[in-house]
Amino acid sequence: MHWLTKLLASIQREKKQQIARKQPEAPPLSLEYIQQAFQNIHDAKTIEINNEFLGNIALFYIRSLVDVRQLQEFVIFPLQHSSHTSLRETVSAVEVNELNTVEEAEQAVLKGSVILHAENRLWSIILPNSVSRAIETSEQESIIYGPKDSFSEQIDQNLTLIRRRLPIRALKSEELTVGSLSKTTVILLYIDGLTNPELIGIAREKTSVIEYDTFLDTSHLAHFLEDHICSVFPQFQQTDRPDAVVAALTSGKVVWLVDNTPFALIGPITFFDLFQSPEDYIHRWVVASFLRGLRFFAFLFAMVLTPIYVALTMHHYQMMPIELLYVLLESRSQIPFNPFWEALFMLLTLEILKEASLRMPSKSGQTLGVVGGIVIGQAAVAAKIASNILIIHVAVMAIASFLIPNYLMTNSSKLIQFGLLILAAWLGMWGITLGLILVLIHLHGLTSLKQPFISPLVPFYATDWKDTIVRLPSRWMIQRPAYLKPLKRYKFSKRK
Amino acid sequence: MPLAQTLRMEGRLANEGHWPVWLGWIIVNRFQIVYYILFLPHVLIYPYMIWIIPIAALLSHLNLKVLSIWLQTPQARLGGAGFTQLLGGFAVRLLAFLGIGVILMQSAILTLSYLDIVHQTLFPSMSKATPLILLGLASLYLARLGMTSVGNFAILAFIMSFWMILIYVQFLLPQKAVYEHLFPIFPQNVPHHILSNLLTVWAAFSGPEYLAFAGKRFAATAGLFRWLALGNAVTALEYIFFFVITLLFYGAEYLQKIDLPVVQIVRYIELPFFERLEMIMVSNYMILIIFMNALFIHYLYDAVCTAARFAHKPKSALGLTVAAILLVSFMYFFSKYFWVLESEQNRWTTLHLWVSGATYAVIPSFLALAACLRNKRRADK
Amino acid sequence: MKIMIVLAMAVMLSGCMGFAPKTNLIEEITPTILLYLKEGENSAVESTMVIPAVKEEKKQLLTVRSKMMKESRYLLTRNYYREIKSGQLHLLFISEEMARKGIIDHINTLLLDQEIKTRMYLAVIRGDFVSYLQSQFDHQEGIDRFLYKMFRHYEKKGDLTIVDLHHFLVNYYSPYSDPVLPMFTIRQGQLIYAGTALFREDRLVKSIPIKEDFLFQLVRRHQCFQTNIPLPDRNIVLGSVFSTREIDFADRYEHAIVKVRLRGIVEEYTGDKDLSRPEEADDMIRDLERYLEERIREHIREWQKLSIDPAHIGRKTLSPFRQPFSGPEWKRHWRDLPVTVRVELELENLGWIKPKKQGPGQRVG
Repeated sequence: MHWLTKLLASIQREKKQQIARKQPEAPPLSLEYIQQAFQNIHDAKTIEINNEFLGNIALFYIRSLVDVRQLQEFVIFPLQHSSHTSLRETVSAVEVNELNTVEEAEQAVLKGSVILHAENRLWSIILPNSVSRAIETSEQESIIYGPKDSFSEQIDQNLTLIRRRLPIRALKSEELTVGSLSKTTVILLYIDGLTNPELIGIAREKTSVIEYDTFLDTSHLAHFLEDHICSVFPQFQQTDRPDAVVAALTSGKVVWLVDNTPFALIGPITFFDLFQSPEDYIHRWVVASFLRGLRFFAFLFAMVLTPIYVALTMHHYQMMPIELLYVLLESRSQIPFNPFWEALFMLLTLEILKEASLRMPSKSGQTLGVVGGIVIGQAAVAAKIASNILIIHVAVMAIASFLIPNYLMTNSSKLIQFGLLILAAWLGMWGITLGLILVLIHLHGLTSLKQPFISPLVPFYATDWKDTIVRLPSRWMIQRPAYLKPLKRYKFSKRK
Repeated sequence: MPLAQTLRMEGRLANEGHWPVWLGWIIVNRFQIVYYILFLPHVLIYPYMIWIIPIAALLSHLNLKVLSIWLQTPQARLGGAGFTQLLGGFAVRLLAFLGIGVILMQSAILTLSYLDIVHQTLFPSMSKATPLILLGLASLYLARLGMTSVGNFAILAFIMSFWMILIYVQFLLPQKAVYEHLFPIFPQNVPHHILSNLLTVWAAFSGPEYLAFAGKRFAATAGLFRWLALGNAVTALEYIFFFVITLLFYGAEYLQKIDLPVVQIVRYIELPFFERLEMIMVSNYMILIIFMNALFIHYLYDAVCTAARFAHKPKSALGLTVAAILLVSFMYFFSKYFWVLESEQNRWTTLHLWVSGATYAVIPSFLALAACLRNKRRADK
Repeated sequence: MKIMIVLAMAVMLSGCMGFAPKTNLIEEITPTILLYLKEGENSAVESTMVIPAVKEEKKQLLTVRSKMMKESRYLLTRNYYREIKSGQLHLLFISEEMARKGIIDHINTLLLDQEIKTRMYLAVIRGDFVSYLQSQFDHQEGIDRFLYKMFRHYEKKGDLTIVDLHHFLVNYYSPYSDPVLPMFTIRQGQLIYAGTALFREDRLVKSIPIKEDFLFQLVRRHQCFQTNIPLPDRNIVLGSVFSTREIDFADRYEHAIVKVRLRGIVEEYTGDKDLSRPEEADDMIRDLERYLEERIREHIREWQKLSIDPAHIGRKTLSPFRQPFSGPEWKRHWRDLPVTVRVELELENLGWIKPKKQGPGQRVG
């Protein structure tokens, strides 16, 4: 088998060398070539300007990408009426760069630059058409007290929101491009001197080796950065809140900003980070600790409530108090299905309702919720397809699953729930425990940017527990999370 | 390994990390109680027998000192190569071959005893093959994460199993406890069979000898002894706690008649929304079995490779799978042909007791002595 | 793919016996709460089970006759269209006749059954329990559940003797104590608590009637609370009585002293004494103490004659340093052990209104 692997590797190496050998020579840098490259693009325009002092000047741009008003005001008008002999003194744009290769020129045109041809040389003037929406409130993570601004699709605007909160030169931003077709700009952010260089190296390398054509969203990028593609648990956090991003950066994490999407990607994260909400740092610490504990309980509760019902009614009738047993007997006595099918049917109905309400226009979504939740549920009981108690279980479970702040986790727990349901029907409580242990083993094996996913549990870091399940007073949290191995452990400037 | 690739199993097995030194106490504690906490040495019946536990714990404490001396030697830190250096290739292969038998037997008895309890308390109508295969699958899943992860999993196994003690605390209260059952706590005469009882309880403290083969796993072994001793002390406290609980609840005469008192006691608990907690408790216990079997899969793999001279090859996921299949198949055939009648089971359990007691006594001493003699000889040269 | 292989292996290896456990779907089983054992002809066991009614079903009784306990449960299951399960068996009633002959074999069977909980309540019934149950089905179908709730309530309260399977067996196996069970009787279509049944080993030897039962409750446990203690002979009813019992031994276990301390209030007094006067109140209290001492002493003497120790006095001979009596030694010792009973009565309240008799037919409030 080993020789076969070697043979395949050598064949692949040979192919790559052949492709490299067949690469054509770079074309000459000329306006004509560029115009020809952009033919059949209706809004690719060329403007000829004749200036007495500067000579013949040609401007090439793609109209939909360029801010035409700024072009007129800061480039065309000065060029037409300039009495300078120097182009730099004439064009009052922020960035005027000389171009050396055709690729640079093509990239510049596609990024919203205007190509200026004069004196047999080419320059690019960056005048992008900034189409963006205004800064709005986050819909996914809205909080009552706290900042209300959120990211938009403009990467520069997003970077501005972050830099305003972290006005330090140690906040480094590296620009990378991913996607052979989409050429999506990705900015890698970290705090130099705080974030562990190993993490930065892993993040940088993972991003730079991505080979794919289009990246339209942060999730697409996350799929290529993940260590475990088959896991149901998200290994990066996505947020559209600048304060959450800044908090992540200052604790020693790495952040990716992706152009054309309002969600930033944060890594590495742990399982416990998925249960944290920005509101935790606004409430009193006792209240915040209670709410966090409630979220963990709700997660477990949402996963196991219906499987426990199925396990008790199918295998372990002895575990129920006698009064409850009689109530269940009465309600189940006329149901034609066994508890497993009954539970499966109701859970699937609930999922269908949830998905349908997402796709419905907002005006009819509410009606559907009422119809689905009350009418179908009630009708199911009246038609003896499901028992009252199961309807209550399913409803409570659905509500409990929304306590988790991370939307992706909510959906992950549903899949685990179905697995536990099957195990509960097959092997009762033993099956549920086995399922939970398998989930635990899976979590134990997960990594996020190569860091263990269930830190600070395994590996155990005692100090990190101040902000995991409970949220102790901010005054007591003087150290950054140990699992990130930051270069500066203490948050106070006097200590290293 | 290129960073950009998703973390494949071979990479995980190749890039092994280390266990922190403080993990030693959890590993020692769970290794020791994994078999006996449900079975509780059945020789502990009369109140004055409580003193056997601290005596056995003290002897175990001394043995752990010897174990830590071995683990601090350069040979232990080298792993397989260290054993070869110490004992020679042929001796290592022979011992590895014997070790295969010991590991298979220990694992089979541990798992089948647990499955008997599951069969008795949860599913009398189900064949043992189904849970056996599922346990094997879960153990393999854990083993494939690598030895470092298996060791670190001890923390999770501890957390998921230790909380069960809280269920038993209510049996210390006057409603359920009869305090006179603890008297007389000091015997007037030396009881009969004291030595055999001590040997049984000594076997109950066995388990840490498996750490003798994991010397290279610890990041550092300086200061390891105090962590091992802490684990031993926690085990002793647990045994004392459970013995006191069962004695308070049943009394000596009734306790003699009860099989598995630690499990039966839970039958008495009645919560407002749940009864028969032993079903949850017995199910929960499975995490310790999975943890131990994952470790046994790694040890079995190493033993087979050493015996067959493949030790130099890197660990592979396929190899672990084969080791797991071997383990589960052995357990299956063992249960079918040697674990059927109660008398057979008692004989094997007694054998397990003797083998564990012997390995716990012999392995650390033998290795520590061999290493010290060798190092002394080299220092003299 | 791997999972499918594993599942296929599980199916093949487990064979016909069970890839999956036989389920206990609650709508396909009948979880019974109450079992009644009676002695039938030729030493057979007559088992009667109450079959719970669900929805349109009717509550009914099933009775079978068999030689062995488990055999009777096997026969009961065959006599009904749903499988009868004992996992929720909470009440085991035994007829007085069977209790006199010995019950340990039947109880041992129950203990071996993993489904049955050790918190099952046991009781002895005097009278025709089957007819009583049959008569109850007409107007309270949930009689088995009501009985269970009653037992659970009084177990917490402590007024009555309520014993579960575990405590019965602890006392049965211990050489220093003997088991007891509550006794119920059927009178005029009602199930009435009739006192405590005392056992020697597993045989019923005597029962304490209801009027004397409170005395047993006072000495039975270290601490006890009783709502009411009626003492009609002394024209008084004590209420909210909190009692503490202590047992000491003197002269190297040659003499036992049973001290009972009672603290309560006077709920009703119809005697002649004027309780508002301290001397008369003290007299009354002293008189009550002597009365209680005498009554308790009589009971203890009876127990000694029958060689039973239902109050677990023998347990108090155990001490950390001393070699205990062996079982037979204690039995011999207990029979002839002199026992002194001392009662201390503290009445916190002698009644809100202390009626004072001035002359014949006149009462001044």
